[in-house]
Amino acid sequence: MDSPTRTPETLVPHRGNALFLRQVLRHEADSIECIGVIPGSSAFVCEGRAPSYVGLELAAQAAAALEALSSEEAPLVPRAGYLVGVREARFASEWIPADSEVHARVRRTGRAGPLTVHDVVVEVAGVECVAGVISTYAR
Amino acid sequence: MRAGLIPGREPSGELTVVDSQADARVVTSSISLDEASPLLSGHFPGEPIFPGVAQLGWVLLAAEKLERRTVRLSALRDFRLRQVVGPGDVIDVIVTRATTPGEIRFEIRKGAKVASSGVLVLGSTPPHG
Repeated sequence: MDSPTRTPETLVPHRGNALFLRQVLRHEADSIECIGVIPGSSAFVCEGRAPSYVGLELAAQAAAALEALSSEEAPLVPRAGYLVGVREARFASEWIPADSEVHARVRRTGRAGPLTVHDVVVEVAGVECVAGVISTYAR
Repeated sequence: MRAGLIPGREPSGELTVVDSQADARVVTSSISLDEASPLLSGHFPGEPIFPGVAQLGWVLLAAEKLERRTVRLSALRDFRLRQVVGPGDVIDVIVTRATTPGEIRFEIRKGAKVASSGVLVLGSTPPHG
């Protein structure tokens, strides 16, 4: 399902340098693919790159976007998706370049009320840099 | 003592390590979180809290004190964020060398409460990147 009409600001409450989400490429009922960018002016960035674990924040924003797009109660309200857990994550690279497109794929694998579990993969230029299982709490 | 967000990199000034105690297996750092930290900007408007991944940077700083070297994060396990960490909070970051080589257990405390905990798996040399 394409999502051409929702801007990132209508999906998550992050703003400015904290907003990594740039575009939802597609989403299904339980999955989403997004493009994100870590701004060069972000506090996480030094010498033009951020530690790869910052990719988990993009994954959490993508998961929040999925919940916002899945919500039937308030479909136009941004959803704060608090990162509340990382069951496991592997970091194949040490850094993610700033101001570059980062691809995030997120698949929901579990839900208990506002708590959701997602498999996540973050790639740069087609190369996986972060993969893992995260939990978010939607509000 | 000022400390940077990113281990081994230039200080960015958003946190202050007010105390650090180390022995062979454990490092405890008390960190005062600046209300003007740029990490809070936009996260979230009107209700600022530190991003959960920011806590990993603080833990890695303590891990470098423990290991006495620059460390590389290879994997992360059982990272549980239980308490919100916000502007002005003072936290204790406790890292402990685990029995498994290359693994470090960590806990961030806010007062008497555990704000987060988990296990770092450290790598030796980066495969790429």
